[in-house]
Amino acid sequence: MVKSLIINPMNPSLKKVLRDLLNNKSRSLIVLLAIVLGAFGVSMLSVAYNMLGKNLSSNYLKTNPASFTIVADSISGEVLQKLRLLPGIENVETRNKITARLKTGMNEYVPIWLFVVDDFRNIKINTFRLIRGSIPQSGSEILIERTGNRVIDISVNKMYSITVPSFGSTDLRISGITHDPGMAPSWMEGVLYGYIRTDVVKKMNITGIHPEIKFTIRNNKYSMPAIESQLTKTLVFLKKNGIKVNRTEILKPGQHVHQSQMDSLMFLLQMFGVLALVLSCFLIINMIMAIMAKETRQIGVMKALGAGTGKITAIYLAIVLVFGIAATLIALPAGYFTGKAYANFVAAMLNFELFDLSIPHGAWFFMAAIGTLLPVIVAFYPVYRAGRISVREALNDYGVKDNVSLSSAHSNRLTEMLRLSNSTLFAIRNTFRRKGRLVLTLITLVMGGAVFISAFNIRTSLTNTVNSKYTNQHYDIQSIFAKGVNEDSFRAAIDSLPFVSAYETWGAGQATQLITGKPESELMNVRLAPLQTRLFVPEMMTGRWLSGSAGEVVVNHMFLSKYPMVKVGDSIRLKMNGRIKTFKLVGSIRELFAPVTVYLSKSLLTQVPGMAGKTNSALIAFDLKNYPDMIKNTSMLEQWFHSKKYPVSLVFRKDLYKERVVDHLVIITTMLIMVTILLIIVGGLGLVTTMGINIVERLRELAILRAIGVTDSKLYSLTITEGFIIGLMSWVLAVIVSLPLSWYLGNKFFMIFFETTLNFNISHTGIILWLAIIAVFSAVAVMVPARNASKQSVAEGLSYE
Amino acid sequence: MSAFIEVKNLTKVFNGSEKRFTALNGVSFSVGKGELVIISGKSGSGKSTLLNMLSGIDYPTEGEVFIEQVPIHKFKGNQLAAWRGRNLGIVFQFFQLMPTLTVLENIMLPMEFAGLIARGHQKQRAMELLDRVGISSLANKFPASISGGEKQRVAIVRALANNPGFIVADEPTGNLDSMNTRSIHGLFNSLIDEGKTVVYVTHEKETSLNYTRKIEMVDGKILNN
Repeated sequence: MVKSLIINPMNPSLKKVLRDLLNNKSRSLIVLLAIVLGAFGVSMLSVAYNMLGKNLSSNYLKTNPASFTIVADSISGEVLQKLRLLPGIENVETRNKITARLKTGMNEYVPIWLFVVDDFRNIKINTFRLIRGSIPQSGSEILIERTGNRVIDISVNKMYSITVPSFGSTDLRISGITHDPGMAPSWMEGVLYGYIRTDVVKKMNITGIHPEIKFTIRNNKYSMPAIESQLTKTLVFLKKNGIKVNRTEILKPGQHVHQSQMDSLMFLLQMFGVLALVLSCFLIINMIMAIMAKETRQIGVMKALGAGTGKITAIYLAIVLVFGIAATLIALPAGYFTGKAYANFVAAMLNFELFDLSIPHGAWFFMAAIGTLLPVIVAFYPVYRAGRISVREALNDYGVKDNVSLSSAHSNRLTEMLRLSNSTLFAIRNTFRRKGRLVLTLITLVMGGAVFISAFNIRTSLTNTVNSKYTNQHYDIQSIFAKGVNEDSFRAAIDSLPFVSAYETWGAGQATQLITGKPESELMNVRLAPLQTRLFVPEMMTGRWLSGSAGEVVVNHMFLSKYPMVKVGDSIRLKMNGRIKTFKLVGSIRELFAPVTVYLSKSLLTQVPGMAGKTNSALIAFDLKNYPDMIKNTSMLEQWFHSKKYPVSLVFRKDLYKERVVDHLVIITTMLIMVTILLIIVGGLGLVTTMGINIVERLRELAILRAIGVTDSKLYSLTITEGFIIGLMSWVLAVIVSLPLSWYLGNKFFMIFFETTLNFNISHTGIILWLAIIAVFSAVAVMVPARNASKQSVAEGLSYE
Repeated sequence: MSAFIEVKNLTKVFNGSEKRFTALNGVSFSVGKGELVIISGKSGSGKSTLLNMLSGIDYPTEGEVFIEQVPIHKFKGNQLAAWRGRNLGIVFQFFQLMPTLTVLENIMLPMEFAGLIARGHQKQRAMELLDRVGISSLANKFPASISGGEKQRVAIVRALANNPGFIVADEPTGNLDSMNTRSIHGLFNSLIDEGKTVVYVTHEKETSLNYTRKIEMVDGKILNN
């Protein structure tokens, strides 16, 4: 049967199929669009998924990231050479990092990490590539990572003054631009990355740097046990050679620093890919049912002429197949280019290149199969079911049955309760006449609406969660000094600043956690909090805040995410400045978008050699009522720091940090916007289909109404009312469904991205906007078919078949 | 000699939403080969229902229908469709032509379904049939561009596509003027001359058909035969 259809294109039944398509252009376009939507959504997301998935990790792995890092007190060239010859070691390099500040204007600075490179021509670990200019030839030059271009002007030959706290400043010329895929984008992290020669270090007489020695292992590079084993052997070797080790570091093997963002993005891509597919399927089923309803008489005639159910099914599935092929030819390239554009956008956001743009054959086949075969599979049952109609029923079909869905008793109650007019009641009854179609339409609209509203809820929740973190904090600036400054004189001096309304002196440092049987942890931030803090408002998750006891620790949620078994009451061993101390965990806080941080009592500062009576961090609040200009205030503060010769290593503006958090989310919010656009189209198509066919199959009925005196405008308002009733029902259900859906999706995504839960908020905008969209579509959906119906004469309408 | 059509105790009951309706009530009759039988009666008499039973478009509640000794009352779905394609030609009141097929293609459609006529000969046969009734000039026209009388002629030609021995017509001139009616009746008369057996449903009292017998129906029963 199918063979005859395909091989013999002159078959009348196939000609009927093709001409039906061409004669009903608007209907064909709508069906095509429904399939294109699903196929496009799947293609775009598959392409983006494929490109992003393999390129992020391949970009990162191409840099030959360090297997582990050892920070030693000092190391000689001789020992370094011996390390290179250790069995199991592939490469050894030192790459020291100096935290500095780059001057961008009068009293304006941007943090910069200076990576000291021994030999730019022989980098084997954590490699980066030169994309413009040349490598530094002297101690007056610097390479800047390319993502700094959104922070400062990084043109080659531009000169900047770089300040290393406690060691003064020097001017460096940008000799070239690099791409370092191993680093998160500068504009996201709020820190520039610069690459300098050891000459710069010598020129500025920078001392006290503990060498960071990076290693890659020869075998099983991405195996944690193999890495840990090699690290242990290396430590033994260093101990034998009298090298004092300060700390060690193993990052997750083979995982980029932004892997969590990628994971959340992949999750969203998969979710929305499935959603696009499911919605498209419902849309296709709805449309096919609408088409088959209109074809009922012709099906009856064909069956009377000798066509069996199988033949009928084959004929109409051929229509669907033609649509599927046409849709695939449109959707696949469109999906490819859009997916590629989105992948490029994400890659740019996350600072990696799409080197490999190939899509596996399997993925192409999958996308093509979705476009061509899925509509056929989905349409099979409605087509088969329609084809099974008896000849008598089919020939006697004049559209909707005479059945009434609401009993007269119910109708009277409804009319009384809601004071409905008869015509509104008529519209309500009509809405429920085709229950199966109504259910399908509602499912499509509810799913589309629920996800649309959820997208808004998630965006609002994200914004509010981010805002609340920063609104709730009462400081404007967090400053950190490279060395301790006399606390009393600091206080006396800062008290005189008129634009500062409040301040608190804190302590800042870094520590590693020691766990028996496990390697030393990565470096984590340590903040030493005063007994009473008004400027820092901890968002408690468990337990309580510090009471001032030197033996207590409060950790943030990022710590708990790394060490999920830890709970309040447990002991935690920390190593700071070479000294190990055990603390009791008394509480945990949620600290959005912060690195792993532990909070200790500021009283511990006195136990740090050279820090008695000193402070090295301060939280500062500006008097924004009288001095509202944040930038000017910050500049004045920087100037003051400079005048006092405070060795500032970081001046962190809270409001800028908030912007950076929002920037991190731009990838996700862009995806949400794309999805909402898709859903608007889906919702519109769903309503247009249903209302269109509702009118077409009741042309005779509408003609009767006109014959007995109902005006065109009244008919139009009746049909709009029907459309609006469907839309309103779907809107109510969509709002209800969106609540658990957005809670689930939002938390799922947020947990992957930020490793904590979201402050869930409902977006009234999303709810009202969807209602408005549905209302507009209800009106538009009936416009064309209702106008066409009213163009027919009453006689034509009465004789419609 | 066995009858061409044998109907025994045929009953059809419709189960409506509020009550049952007996459209045919124990109807029995037979039709010989080559007869033109008119079934007449007022609206609701059961004549169209009877025609549906004879053409296999509907199933009886009780009773038997034999067409050329074939018990079509036992057939279901695709069996009936296949039987219709090979053995029966139907002429509908409202023509029921496929609007997106030309006249020629409408006539070739049943040939495609039945598979009795070889692919290469279908077009030729369709043209011959159109020629026979003098409407070969309409071959490449679409139904929307031809008159009611022409449509019904095309419908009759379509009914003859697979050269069936049995033709049923359900008020084929119900929508036509008297001139076209006479012309259509002439066509049907010629079918009898070819040895076809025709069952013709009408509510008209006067007719130019050369019928051999008239079955009058009232309230689902045969009043006169």
